[in-house]
Amino acid sequence: MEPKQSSPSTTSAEHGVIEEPPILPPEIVRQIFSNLKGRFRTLDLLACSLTCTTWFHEAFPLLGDDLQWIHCSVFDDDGETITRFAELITESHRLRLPHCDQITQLNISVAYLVNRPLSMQEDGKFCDTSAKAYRDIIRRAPNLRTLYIFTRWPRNSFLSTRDWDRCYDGTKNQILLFFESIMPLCNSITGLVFFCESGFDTFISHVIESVADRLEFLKTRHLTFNDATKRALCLCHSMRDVDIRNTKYRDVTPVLHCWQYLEKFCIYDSFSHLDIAEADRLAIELGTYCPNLVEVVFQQCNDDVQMSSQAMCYLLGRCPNLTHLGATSNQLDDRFLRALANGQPHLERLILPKCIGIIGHLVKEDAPAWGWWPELRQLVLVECESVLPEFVERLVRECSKLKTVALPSTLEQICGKLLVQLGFRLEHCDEDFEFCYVTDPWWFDMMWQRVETDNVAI
Amino acid sequence: MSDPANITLVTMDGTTFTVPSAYLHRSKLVQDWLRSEGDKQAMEVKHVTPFVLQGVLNFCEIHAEDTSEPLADPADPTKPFEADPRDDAFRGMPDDQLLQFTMAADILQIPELVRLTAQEMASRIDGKSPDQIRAMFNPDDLAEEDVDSDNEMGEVGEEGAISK
Repeated sequence: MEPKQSSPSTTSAEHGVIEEPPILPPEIVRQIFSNLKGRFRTLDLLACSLTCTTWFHEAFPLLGDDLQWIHCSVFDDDGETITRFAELITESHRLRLPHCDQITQLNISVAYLVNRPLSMQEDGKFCDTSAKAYRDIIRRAPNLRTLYIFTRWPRNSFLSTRDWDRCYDGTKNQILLFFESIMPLCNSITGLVFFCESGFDTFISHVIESVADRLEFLKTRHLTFNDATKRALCLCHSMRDVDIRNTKYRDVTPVLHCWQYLEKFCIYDSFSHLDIAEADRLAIELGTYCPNLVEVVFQQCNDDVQMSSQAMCYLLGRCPNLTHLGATSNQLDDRFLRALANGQPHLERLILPKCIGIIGHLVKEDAPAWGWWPELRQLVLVECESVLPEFVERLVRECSKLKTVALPSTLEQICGKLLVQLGFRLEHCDEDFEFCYVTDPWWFDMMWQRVETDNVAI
Repeated sequence: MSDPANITLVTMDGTTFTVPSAYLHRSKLVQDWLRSEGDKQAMEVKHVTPFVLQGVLNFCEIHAEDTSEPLADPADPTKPFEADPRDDAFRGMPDDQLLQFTMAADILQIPELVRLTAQEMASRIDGKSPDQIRAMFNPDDLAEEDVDSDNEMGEVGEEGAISK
């Protein structure tokens, strides 16, 4: 196939031969972008969208919502990624492109604010580059709503817990100063998420305090509610959505009186050995001060007692608009169930695992005026070993919107036949369920799910 | 009338390549041309240099006897890309050549080659800055009016104070 220099009689192909100097056409650019598949695909797409007009028009739509979630998808290795993200966002801002507007959440990880020591003799040094990168992003993201703060030191396998904590002794103050410097820039923040380890309690109260007047959403994991934190939380009068895990009930109760607009409350206590009075106090405070609640979830890790039927009845009476109630308590009985049936017509999700006191005798009584929870779509009675099959059967027949059901093992066989008749099949749990609940200790992975949605109650 | 068993391609500078038509059975452009203008002596491929056309034809020759069904679309998700050691030459070539091969593959409408070069370009973009990507693949410039010559927001100092 040797080339020859000659001038034969030629025709120019009419199909697809471009006459202008070659610039990659959009379909090829699209093809290239479809091959960006690595861990940093979002950042690579972002970089491509900043190279030229054609590439921007092809790459930007592909980014979709990815910039909103970039904080949890790419920043899991080291500070270099956050630096690259900041550089790209800065360039986008210089070009007046709309990427900055897309950023609504940002993950600030202490692990990126310090350099990992390479030996036990070294100290972890504060990393100015990462700190600058975070500041650059925050001040260019006008729609930043939620800050995720991970307070976990970078670790090395050769260091014990005590050792790596000591490595960063000299860095803690700089971390605190960093957070104090960024909070004035967070004018649009309405949500805070803390994934905590000990040793950071002092600055967390400062962070909460700095956004207290507009904080609506709080999610915490392993956060100790010390006195300063409680004081800061008491300033958050706009709070609407709280999800607290691995914190003691007794530490949360004292701040509830300040959250009168609270709509969602979820708590999981993996530490306490509660007495009933302590659990009841939490329910009663919620009922007294948070009448706008629509979602309430109480979870506890062990088999200790939780709130009584009396306290829960008080809560139900004070909060008539619940759509989602979850509780694990061996103290709950049919008094609670009756209050629930007669006072909560909007209930959509009822999650009552391990409530061994619930029997369901009220099934023999007249149904409430509005019927049995006409909006109910999810019912979980796992390990409620005393519940009557008649109660379950009546609910699955009469709650026509019911889509998922989980039963105690004792009733699986008895009620299974009816569930199959009504169009239910045993399937894996849906994501919605997994998102809301801690998997331990009463976790199960199969639920009855209605697959024939047209097949309503018989 | 040209020999139907062979096809002659003419590059931008008049260089001709005569190859068996079967080599180019994956090129939609060539197949269309053969159907509509096959009686002409040669097909001109503008904007393709001899070097690049030679490389494209090498690719076509290597894959001439492949039994896989020709790709209708390089982005066909039902036929995932699989690296072929016979194509290693494309992985080692300089960026500007890769760009030219991508263009040639597009001009000649050879989906398999488009996919190969696009995949290689994507792998080179991994981790690069916009400037580096521009230097590699020289895309059209951003319109001047898109560019803000000055940062209106001012800079925020280490302590968070805003200074102009």
